[in-house]
Amino acid sequence: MENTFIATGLLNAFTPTNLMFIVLGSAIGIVVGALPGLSATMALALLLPLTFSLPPETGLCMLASLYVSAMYGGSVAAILLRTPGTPAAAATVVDGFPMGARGEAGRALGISLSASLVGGILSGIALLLAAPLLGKLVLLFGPVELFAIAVLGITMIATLTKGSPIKGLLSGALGLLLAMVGMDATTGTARFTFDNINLYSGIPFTAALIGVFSIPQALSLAEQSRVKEEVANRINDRILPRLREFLQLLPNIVRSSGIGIVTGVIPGTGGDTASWFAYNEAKRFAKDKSQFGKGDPAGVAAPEAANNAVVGGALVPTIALGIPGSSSAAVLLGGLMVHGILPGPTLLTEYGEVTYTLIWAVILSNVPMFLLGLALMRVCICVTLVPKMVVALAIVALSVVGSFAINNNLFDVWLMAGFGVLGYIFDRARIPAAPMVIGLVLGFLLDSSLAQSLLMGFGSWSVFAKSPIALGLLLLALLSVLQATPLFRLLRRRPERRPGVQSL
Amino acid sequence: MNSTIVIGAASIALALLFRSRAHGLPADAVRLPSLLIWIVIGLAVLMIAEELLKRRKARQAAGASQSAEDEPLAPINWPVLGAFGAGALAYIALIPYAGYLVVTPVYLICGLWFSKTLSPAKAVAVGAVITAVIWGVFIWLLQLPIPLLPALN
Repeated sequence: MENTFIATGLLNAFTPTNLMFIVLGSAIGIVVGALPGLSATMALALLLPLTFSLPPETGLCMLASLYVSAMYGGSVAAILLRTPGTPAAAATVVDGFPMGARGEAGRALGISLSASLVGGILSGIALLLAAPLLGKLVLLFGPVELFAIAVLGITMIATLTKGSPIKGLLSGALGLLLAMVGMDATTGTARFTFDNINLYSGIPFTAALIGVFSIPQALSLAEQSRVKEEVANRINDRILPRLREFLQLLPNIVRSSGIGIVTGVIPGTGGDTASWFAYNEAKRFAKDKSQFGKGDPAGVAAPEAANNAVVGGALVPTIALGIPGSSSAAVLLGGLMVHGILPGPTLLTEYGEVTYTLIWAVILSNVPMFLLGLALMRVCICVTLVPKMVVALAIVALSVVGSFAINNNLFDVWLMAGFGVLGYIFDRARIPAAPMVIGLVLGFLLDSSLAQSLLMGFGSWSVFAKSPIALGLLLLALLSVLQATPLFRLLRRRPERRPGVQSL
Repeated sequence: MNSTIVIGAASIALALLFRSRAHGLPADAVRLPSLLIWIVIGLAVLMIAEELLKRRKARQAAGASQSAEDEPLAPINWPVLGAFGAGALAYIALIPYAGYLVVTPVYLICGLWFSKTLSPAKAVAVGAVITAVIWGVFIWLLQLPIPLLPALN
């Protein structure tokens, strides 16, 4: 069955329309990634409404290629402006900018592009191999286990995101609470709708996604509109690395890709974590560590391979379990949900053709990313200089049009604006917005699987203790919450203190 | 006022509002929401306590090195934020009456002009190009239902 899906997915991805949208997504991704301050998640959320009138496969091909290419695009601004285009490219600045400063901007961009290509392809292959294996396992799962998976997913995302775990957990819980708005699927009762007909089908998560990920970026771009970016480095040298240099960097690129894939699989950790992790490992493995920070090519290759490898890794739990591994993966899952494809085991069975088309799009989009990356390198320099106010105003216009198109309804636009303001305050309070959005996406799965589980258990919560898998997953969820508490930190510190105490 | 405390207080208020609306609903329909309401209240209280504790520690150790998370954010640029926000709200409010083809270029041109980002001529050109691109992709190509010129309907 899987082989059929794999073959159908490949054929779907190779249709002229889908290939055209893969190329279009790659071009948009590179340009958006190159714009300082814009993230891949924002671009995905803004372009999500474009997929409404497209077949699901085509829309997902475009979103997947955009996601992959934006990861590379971030390095352009990092190398040329000393400002990472995306948060995932922050580690690239350390060695990319010094390389550019000594006249090797082209070489740095070429290394970044080659490393991104290898990282992207390896992670796509890992996704293609891992998703069916996990998918087989998930077929054994019933509502009890699905509820436990959803709980584990949300707690891991909330506690592993940067900053205070309490803030992450609150963000996730708020998302889940907001997902309770609308008709209850079991009893058919309207919950928390405040007699507003627009809320009977729940809070449209597309409006929430657009608002939370786009409006805060538009507001902060407007605030910084007086700060002018200047191109510090110019491209005057050879772009693609020579074969010998590439082969020298290859072990580092492959290791960093592995780091990216594994980091991506863990919900809540994204491209920024992976790129710093890979950078540190590249430094640790290097024979001459003194060149790191002064323009070592290995310091560009490692983070760029890792952040592109995160894409495939983050999609493993998204596709196999229905739990998005990152905020970008949550938007991609949103792209499936707008077409009525719900997260869960059916992604690899009932909707296998669509899902495998997405997987192939992740692999194939690396080719246009590489070719367009080479072709658009000099265009990207102009893109990085577009005034921030132009970008901010365009984001607002796109957000309004996109959210209006969801239901042809102004209510969704106001809702999007409300979520935008909330996202901005979240940013100021350093509360991660990703767990809230993932909570909104997973709320339905959590609610329906809980209702089904309790029906199976005749209303008793002990049904979760009777399933060893569910019990194990719920204990893991509890551990992920506990490890973020001061109590756990105290327990970890205690053995370290003992020698000191003994010496006294 | 501190954004964390604002969000904490707003979360508690939202949870209590949901709790008041949960009365009278079937028990099966409010099983998970009731659980989530208490989780939200508990976490919001913890977050406020954590923030107050952090502020007290910061006052006690004034001048000590700060962690990356504690590094102060750039202050809010209230005049720009206020003007930009008001422009965006006006844009949303006017779209159903004046239509996309009128409001969008006006919003973009005024935004670029008043912020002194571009000269008037360039602002008009950029506003027209962005309006045309969004119209071309979202409305002409994908046929998404946006009110273009309601006055003509």
